[in-house]
Amino acid sequence: MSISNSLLAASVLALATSGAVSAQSLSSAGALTFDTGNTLFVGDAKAGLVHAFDLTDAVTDQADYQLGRAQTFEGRTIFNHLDVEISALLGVEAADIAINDMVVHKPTKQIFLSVHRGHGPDAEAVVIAVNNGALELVDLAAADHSSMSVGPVPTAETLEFGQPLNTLAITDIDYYNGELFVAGVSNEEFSSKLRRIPFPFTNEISTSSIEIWHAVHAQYETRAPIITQTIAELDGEPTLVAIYACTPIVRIPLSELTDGAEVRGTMIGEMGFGNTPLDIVPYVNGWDGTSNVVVTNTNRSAASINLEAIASAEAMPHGEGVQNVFSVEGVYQFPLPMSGTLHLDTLDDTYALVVRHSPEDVRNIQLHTVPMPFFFDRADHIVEMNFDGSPDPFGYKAAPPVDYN
Amino acid sequence: MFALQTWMRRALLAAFLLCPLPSLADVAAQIDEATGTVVVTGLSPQDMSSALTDADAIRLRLETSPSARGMLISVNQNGEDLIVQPRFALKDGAVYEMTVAGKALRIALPAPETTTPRMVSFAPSQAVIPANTLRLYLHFSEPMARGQLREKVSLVTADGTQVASPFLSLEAELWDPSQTRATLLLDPGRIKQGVGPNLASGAPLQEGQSYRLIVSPEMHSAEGVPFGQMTSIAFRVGPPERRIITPETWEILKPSTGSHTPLSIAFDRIMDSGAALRLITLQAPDGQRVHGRVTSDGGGWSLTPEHPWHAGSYSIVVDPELEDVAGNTIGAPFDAVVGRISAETEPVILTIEIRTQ
Repeated sequence: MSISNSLLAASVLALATSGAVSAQSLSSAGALTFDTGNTLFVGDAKAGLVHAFDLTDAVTDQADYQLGRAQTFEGRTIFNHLDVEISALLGVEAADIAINDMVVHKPTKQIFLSVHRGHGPDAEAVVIAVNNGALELVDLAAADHSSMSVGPVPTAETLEFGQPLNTLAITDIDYYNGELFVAGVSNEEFSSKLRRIPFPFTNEISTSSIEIWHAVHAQYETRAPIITQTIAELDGEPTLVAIYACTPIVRIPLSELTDGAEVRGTMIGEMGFGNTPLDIVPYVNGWDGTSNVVVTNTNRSAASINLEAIASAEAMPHGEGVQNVFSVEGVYQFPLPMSGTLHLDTLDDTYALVVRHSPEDVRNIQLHTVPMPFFFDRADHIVEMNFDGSPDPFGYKAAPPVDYN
Repeated sequence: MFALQTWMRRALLAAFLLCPLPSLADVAAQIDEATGTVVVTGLSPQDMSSALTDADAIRLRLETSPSARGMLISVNQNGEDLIVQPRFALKDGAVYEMTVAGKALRIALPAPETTTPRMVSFAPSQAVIPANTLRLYLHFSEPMARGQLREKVSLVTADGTQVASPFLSLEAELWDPSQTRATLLLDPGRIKQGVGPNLASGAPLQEGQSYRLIVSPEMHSAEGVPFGQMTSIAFRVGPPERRIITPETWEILKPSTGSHTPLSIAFDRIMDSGAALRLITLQAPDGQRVHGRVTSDGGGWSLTPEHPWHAGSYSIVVDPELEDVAGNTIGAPFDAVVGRISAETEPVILTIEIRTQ
């Protein structure tokens, strides 16, 4: 049994504002997520805020936009040179922008991107929508807005000495059942701070410092920040599935993340060293009906992990005499043929969506759909069935070219 | 015949000079620096009308952009001028191209005055740092651009060999709000005892070795101005620090009443200087916070008060989140034996008496 020690620290009073405000209220735009309705949450690390924008009047149904032809394992490139196209809209060079995150509004399948115009402290933060293949700037000033402080709350004392230096880089935001779970990395403390915030925002936030045990090193436990996380129901139990820096996979039932409780988080797998996970996204395998998560990585290919396997996984062995683990270990990870991925989400039951480096030219940043459940786009790969004159047992080549709208 | 031709030529020339055809009028675009708008003059009524009604009739784009897409603008009429308001301010030093009425007009913005950035300090600043140092701070003279640390900062050994992937690769870089201080985390997987990366690749810093942190000449400010020359910070690596922080063992240099002499603490190790500045405070005998100039180089902490010291019991309040450069805290070392991570949440209070001398 792995032992993890958690201190659910004292509630921190936070600021909650409501009402329409100008788009300038967005100091930075990082992690994005939607609730089950039309509220877009934007992580604003610079201001130490999570913003909520009601986009009911902004979202547009994308049902008629073709996403690819999954039957023949073909995804659709919605944009080549996405960075160039967004930067043109903003009137700067591609090198002057950063695409920080991407999220799909599931009810409409509309794509939203958080973007910075500039790389300096005065970079302008915007949210860009893709509307049936067109890029549009989202008018956040027109949306009902509220926000909640998640960063170090400046006090009169800290402000006295000028601008505080400590910040929280928000690494992930997830919405589950009326609550937001915000993970971040501090630039002055190496600890795991998970913030649990009810939405609509009240004036309360509970901050958990979850210090986890690393099975890979058998004898020592340390604290580490969460890099990416999702919330999934494991045997009906809502559970945080998180990947920490250097890179254990941990499950923590949400019911244990109560104020002041001691949490026993369970390390059930290791993503392997020399790698940082980017996104963890739940999906259902349409072929066999299983529920899974897909994890994208900086230095390894993406992996799929079955939720039942996560639920039933034994804690990784630890204690005296246990050998160290060097690589991918623990709960089974099915490797997926997906690399060069910068951002990932699912569009619907059939297609995932990635911002990625094109497999043919890494300088080309694409917005591209990928057929699930194998996250396999036939055109990306050198496979015999793509060659002229080669056998076509599945009739892929016989299928007419897709005529996209 | 010849005379007639001359006369005709003169007449045509005069007509041309006195009555220029509308289509030959000079359409010009100029930036109005006060408002950031582009003022287009010399448009015919038809071209003005189409510019105001047809979104495709006018386009403003960066001249060098590989995309034909125009940037977001709004347009309106002011007398005979067309006013083009870009949604985002045009970038200083850039050249834009406005296409209107079939013409491509060049708009060059003056280059801004810029300052060459440099590195002003580095923490920990001590000549010898622990082998398990977790966090380094780089301070710059100018706000820097995000997104370049991975490529522009490297660590080399004494013989010039580059240390492979010494820093934790995070999607989000860690900067202070002014972007003049960057935090680099040495890969914790390679610092923790017994972890695969540590066993396979070794810790990034080896005890007894000398290193140089190299910042590339291409490291550039938010304004895009590069360093221009390589910057290098040399340090040696001593034994790892794996003890918890025990404020009770700190040496405290007490001032005397009536003076502005700083109250100083000498740590028994190198503390995280950023955390020490923020997480160590001083309370006066009346419970109020003592204000003054606080400095820390990680090796110590000192406070020079605004007002002279009074006699009485002062309290040094140490927040439990204080970390040393190796990530050890008051509650637990960075590497705790299983089951030993403490849930320390209370500040440690050191009481000192300041007496009249």
